[in-house]
Amino acid sequence: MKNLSKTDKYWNIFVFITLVLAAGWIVFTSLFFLKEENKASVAPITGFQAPDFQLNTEDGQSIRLATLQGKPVILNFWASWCLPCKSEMPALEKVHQQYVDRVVILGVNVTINDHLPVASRFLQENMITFPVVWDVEGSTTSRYGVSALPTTFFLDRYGRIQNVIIGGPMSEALLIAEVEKLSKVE
Amino acid sequence: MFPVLRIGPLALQTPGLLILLGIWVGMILIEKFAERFSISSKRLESLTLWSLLSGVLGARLFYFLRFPQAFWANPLDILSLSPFLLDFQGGIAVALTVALIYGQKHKMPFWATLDAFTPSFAVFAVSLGLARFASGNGYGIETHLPWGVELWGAVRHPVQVYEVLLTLLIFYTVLPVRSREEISKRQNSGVLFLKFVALIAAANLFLETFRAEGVRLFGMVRAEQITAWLVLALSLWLLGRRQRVAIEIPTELKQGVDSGSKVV
Repeated sequence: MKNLSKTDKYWNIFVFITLVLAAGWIVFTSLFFLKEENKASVAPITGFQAPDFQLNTEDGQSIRLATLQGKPVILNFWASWCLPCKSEMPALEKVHQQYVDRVVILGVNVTINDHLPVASRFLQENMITFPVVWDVEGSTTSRYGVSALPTTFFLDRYGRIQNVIIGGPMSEALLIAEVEKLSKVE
Repeated sequence: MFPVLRIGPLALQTPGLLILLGIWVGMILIEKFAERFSISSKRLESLTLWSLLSGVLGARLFYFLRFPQAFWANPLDILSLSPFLLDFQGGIAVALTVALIYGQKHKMPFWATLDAFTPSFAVFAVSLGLARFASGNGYGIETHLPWGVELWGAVRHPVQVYEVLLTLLIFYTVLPVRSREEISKRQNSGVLFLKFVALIAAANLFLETFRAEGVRLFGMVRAEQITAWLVLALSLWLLGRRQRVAIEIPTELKQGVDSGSKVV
């Protein structure tokens, strides 16, 4: 065996002690620190259950988010004064038409900061057929912590948030890829 | 937590801005410190730009390969400026490959190049911590400690703050304060980089304890901690080896070295 210098011996001892202490830390913290995050916790961020809400469409139909579980949901917060929101609407509509069996697209108009007749006219002119609900009081927008428009939440079939995209416009390719990802979540 | 920075009608994504800021400061540090490791700063900047550019293109290519069906209807979406149509693992793999090829082609010394990049890597690690702090991702487990912060419906360890503080400390530790001559005489190439890797691995091993997210092996041990331990072990082993090899002194500096030094 090769003779080690004093420095090498000290170094080897240092490395050995460091690695043993690090391994000990992993075991100790796994036993006493590690708690499973409550997956049922509700928060507007990836990994948590999406906050539930119940809002009306323009024709008075009430939609509750919790009742949509069973299919992935794309939740898009928008307003008619927001240019990127309007730009991505055709892509959302196309994906809605193409994947209507696989995903629910739900628009949430931030009506508290919008003008309902203008937003409604925009939807009609652009032949948007996916459901859009009106957040007149802004409570849902606030619960979701929406600080910029558009903001889009991608929910799996269990209502858990899998991705959040702030800003836009989102391309059709991005939306289709997200639908593919959501479909694979078990 | 401040995911969006509002400037008039513009809403800028703070995490992305902080990462760009990290890259920009990193480029400044390359220019400042490259010569101390006997490497041309222009060459390093060029390597960085090639890597970044190829990384972005590679990330888009891998995204396309992962979801080809997404581009059938609109093939031009492959040219979209959206930062969301990127596959980060693919991008990193392409960037590293291009960096290796570039380094080989221009005969750049492997370990000394990594040393010269180390302050930039360290500042980038700080910017990643700040980006997590801004976005609220990488949040901590629940705690009753007095410095816990209210986040996502619970009082949690401010693990993003721990991360920023630790990476700042690591940045300070790896900042080369010695002159080019001193570095050449006293330190083998690769030692600074490996020291940084070991410190980052140790920091992650500690930080992952307090992070709420993560993959658990056998329902209890965190995969991220095991990975950090393996990286720590490998970097310490390599560090031992690099410290033992004779100091390599650039030819132009050999004149000034004492006759008793270990010149290869």
